[in-house]
Amino acid sequence: MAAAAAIGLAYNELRADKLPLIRAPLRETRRVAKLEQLMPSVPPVTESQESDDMKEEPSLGPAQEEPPKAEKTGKPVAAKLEPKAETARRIAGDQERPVSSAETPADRKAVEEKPLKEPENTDQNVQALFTTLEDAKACFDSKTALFVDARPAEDYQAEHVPGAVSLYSEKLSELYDAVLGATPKDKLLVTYCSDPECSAAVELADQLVARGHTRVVILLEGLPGWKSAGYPTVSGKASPK
Amino acid sequence: MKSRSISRIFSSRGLAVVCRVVVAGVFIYAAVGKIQDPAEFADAVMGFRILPLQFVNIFAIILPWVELIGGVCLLSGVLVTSSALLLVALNVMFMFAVGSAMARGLDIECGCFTLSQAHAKVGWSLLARDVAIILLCLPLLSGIAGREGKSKEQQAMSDEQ
Repeated sequence: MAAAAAIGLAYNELRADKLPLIRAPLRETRRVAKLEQLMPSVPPVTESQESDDMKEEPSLGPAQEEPPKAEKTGKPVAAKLEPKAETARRIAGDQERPVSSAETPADRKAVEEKPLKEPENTDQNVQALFTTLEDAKACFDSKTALFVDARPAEDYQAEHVPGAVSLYSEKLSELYDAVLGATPKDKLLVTYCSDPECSAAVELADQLVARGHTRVVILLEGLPGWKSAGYPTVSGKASPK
Repeated sequence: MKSRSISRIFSSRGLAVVCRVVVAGVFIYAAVGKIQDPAEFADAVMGFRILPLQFVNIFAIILPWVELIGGVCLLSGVLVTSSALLLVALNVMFMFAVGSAMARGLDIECGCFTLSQAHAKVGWSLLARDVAIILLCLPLLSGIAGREGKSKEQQAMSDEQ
């Protein structure tokens, strides 16, 4: 037993993706997005920061010491540890140009229809943020978010958030095109799974960010928390759009 | 007479070798997947809600190596009885975990074989599989499969019989 423990610990240290010996609660691993980031129509917290906020793309990397003003805009909430949104798009292999006021819907459509490359590099520590139950419900009520169920299909069919799509995190590459292929990259996505320590929603969110989605958050409480709060759920397959 | 026949069956060296190979194969296969992806195994352990959060990762790191070493020892015929006893103890622990999860109504994957695409959920079939593995270890616990701990005289006597 002692030999097995020693070998196991030594092997873990040698791994590139070594597991931390002491597991921290998932809740402590990244920040919570502010409501104004999820819903751009909500005004920033303080007016004095507003003009500064509009000048730059906020980057919300949870592990970085970001300037507080960067959090106040309704801009991308998919947190990137690199400071520039353009860099994150490059990482995701997105061909998208920076959005400008002169861009027409036709231009945007042409960009979206271009086949996107697979993410060239997914180990850039690109991360999504958490969201609270209340904020997720606000987005649900305002119909600004698309909920993405990270659980297996049978769990989704048993019960899910109304309007949610099923995208089992372990089959992302097979299901992505059919489920989210036509979804705009700036659409707010809220991933969830079965409980606060279920990492499927977290992994799915990070993979969606790596694929170029700029507004992805994780409902850490998952479906049980959603139900406990008295929010609605439905069962069965998703109805066709 | 009947009890002698049954005893002979269980004493059969051939049966013991088959049991060793099967049980060792199961545990080595299970261990390899968990060693390759300890994070997935740790997530599965989390699902059982038995261990305190702080110990989940350490458990996920160490247990697969215990399984691997036990399986390799069994397969190679070294310390067979001790290895079989260890693997029986592991199986009893797994049965406790699965039974506990079932009693609490947890709908979770067992995390037993992370290499397999079909991740089994906790249920009676898992318990039955663990019982089967324990039964396969019984001939090994009788110490027939290896020559460890036997004196030459004892070996000669058993050979005469």
